[in-house]
Amino acid sequence: MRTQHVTDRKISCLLDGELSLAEHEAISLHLDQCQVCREKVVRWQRIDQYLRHNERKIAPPAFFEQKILAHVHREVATAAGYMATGGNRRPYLCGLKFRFATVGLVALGFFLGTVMGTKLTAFLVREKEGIDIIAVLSSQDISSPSITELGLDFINGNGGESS
Amino acid sequence: MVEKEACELKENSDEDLIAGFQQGNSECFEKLVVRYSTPLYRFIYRLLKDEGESQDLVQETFLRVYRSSSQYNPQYPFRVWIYSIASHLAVNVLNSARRRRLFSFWGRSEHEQDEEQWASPDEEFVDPGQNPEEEFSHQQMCISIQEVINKLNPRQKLALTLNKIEGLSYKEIARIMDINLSAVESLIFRAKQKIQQELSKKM
Repeated sequence: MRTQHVTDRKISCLLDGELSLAEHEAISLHLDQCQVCREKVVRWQRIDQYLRHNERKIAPPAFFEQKILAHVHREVATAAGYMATGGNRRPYLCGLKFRFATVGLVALGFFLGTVMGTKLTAFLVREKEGIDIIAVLSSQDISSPSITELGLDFINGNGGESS
Repeated sequence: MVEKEACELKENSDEDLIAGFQQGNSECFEKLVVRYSTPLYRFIYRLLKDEGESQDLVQETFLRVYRSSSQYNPQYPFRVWIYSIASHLAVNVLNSARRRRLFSFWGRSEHEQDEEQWASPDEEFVDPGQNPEEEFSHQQMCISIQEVINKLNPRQKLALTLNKIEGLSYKEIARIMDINLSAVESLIFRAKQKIQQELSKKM
């Protein structure tokens, strides 16, 4: 009995040599009997041929290896120079980091300047009002009312007996 | 001196060269540069289609090998490691180029114009063994395939190039791209499927 057709994905793997031995044998067996799947294999093979044909003509520039070695040695020497001198090293805050830090500081300064400034002004105003009130209160002669004034003479034991 | 001799004796193995370099023999590094500069240049050029950028990335790849040779894990082939470094650099460039294109204010970016230029017929596709009609048809097909490859997403393009051009296995590609085997299979299959669809349209 004929089994199901081989999927395109399996054919792709088969041509790439990425199937297990068991799968490979099963598919090969099916391909012997199935014309439809054999045609599919031919179609997928054509892609592989085109892909391989497009390759192998690009040459690197002249003295490329020397350029690479020179570049690597220059970079390594520069890095070693920085490590040795220490002074020539790039500062921590440079380039983009520096810009971000500057913008951040300006924003923080603006925030502190506006919000905190407003709050400080309000606080000072309140403080000033408080000082004024204390000054007014301290300038007045505020004394507690006497017992007689309050009609509480009886506390001293002479309430109602004095005529 | 002993390391140097050891390096010379086993100069066929990449792993021995990198081991020799790890032990301080810079000649081993030079041999690796001689061995890998051209394949890496071709590989990166295939992905980026830009000579200057490809040269820069090959140089950067070797610089990273030089600086982080101690991080090389000898459990895996050296080839996988160096292709992994080059792939990451190339995919970063491809992704940023894609983003530039996406956010490009003008409809046609420089990169697209480059792609058109590279998709044009050139000596790369000429096969002198065929008759003119067949040759023309073959050239047209190669151009169409090249156009489709240029439009693939960076990961599909990378997986396809590593497999079809560099001849790496799915397992090696999985290691390079840091994904599982099934994902590699899927990326390559989808890339080939797109090419297949393009071929069907043209035929």
